[in-house]
Amino acid sequence: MIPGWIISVLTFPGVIVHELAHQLFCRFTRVAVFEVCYFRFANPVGYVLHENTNAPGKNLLIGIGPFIINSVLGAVIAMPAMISVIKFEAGSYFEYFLLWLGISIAMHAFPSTGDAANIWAAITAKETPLALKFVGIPVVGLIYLGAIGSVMWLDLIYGIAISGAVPFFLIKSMA
Amino acid sequence: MGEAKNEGEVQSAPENKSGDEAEEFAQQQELDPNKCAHCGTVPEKGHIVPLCTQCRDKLSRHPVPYYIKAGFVVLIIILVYAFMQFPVSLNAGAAFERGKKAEGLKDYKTAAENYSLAYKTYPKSNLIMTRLAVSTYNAGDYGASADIIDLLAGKEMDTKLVAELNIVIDGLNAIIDKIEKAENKKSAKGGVK
Repeated sequence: MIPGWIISVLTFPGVIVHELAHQLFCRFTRVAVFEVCYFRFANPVGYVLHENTNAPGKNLLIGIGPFIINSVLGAVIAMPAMISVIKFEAGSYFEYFLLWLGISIAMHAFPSTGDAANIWAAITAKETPLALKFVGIPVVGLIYLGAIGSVMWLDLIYGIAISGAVPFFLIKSMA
Repeated sequence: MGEAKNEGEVQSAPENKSGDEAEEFAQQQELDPNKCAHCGTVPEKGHIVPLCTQCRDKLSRHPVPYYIKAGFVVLIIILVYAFMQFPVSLNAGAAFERGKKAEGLKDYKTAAENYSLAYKTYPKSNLIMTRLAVSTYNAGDYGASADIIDLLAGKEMDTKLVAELNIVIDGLNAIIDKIEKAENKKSAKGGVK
């Protein structure tokens, strides 16, 4: 068993990007932010304290913001290094650094279980439009599953998979 | 197996509320629903936390510390580098796969050409060098194969790759022996003359 805080310390760039993504989505959706902690050695390791809103769309966007930002940023950073390090075992120190950075960011795409509960509440709320529920429930369900699955390293598996899936798929289709 | 992690928590007021519930929440927090909680002016309607337009705008643009901004700039530079590097890696990966396909079809010349392309991008990859050595040998380019094997000498490698290379080395040694024997025969005949 590796304590969660050790994993968070080892992958701290992901935590910072995660919190920054929450903050940015608060800005986009005009939701007041009272306090932001990007990283600390305590539980939780990072947080964004913002006003509660009765708009389910805003809650949803703030909740899934890190999923979008962390996934895209992490995958793009790790992709070239994934080919040299994993496929050809010929990575330079810088490429190993890129791989660590990219996977660290991507593996923090999943929300905490607390965030996931907020997102789930937002998507299943009475006021949420049916169309949003129809599109959102499968996505949010998957995110929720990922949040719970972090106990079984699902977040790390996701980080590696998203960084590796695109380049290896492209390589196969280009060959 | 790791414990559930606790990063990335968004903390907000307990539940989504609207209308009367919003006023009730504001009262629970000892907030006057008719006054902006920040500056005391008239708040915007339809929100749980009573804030005026200016205060909500200001608070939603919560400042990002300079060290986070600086880190983000570095991250963007890395991102641009990775984005530019990706097509190069991708082309090398695709060339390697094409090489493998051609090798599977026993088209060793095409295989060697494609492995050479991948080798240009990753000259330190033992995997690419081994495939290149094997395919150039099978294509009849013994000199090129021997040159690659020389570069691999003394490296720690996967046993499967070593086994493949040993077959090529044995083959090259057999060819060298044949050539030497033929040359010896020639010189012996020359001596009789």
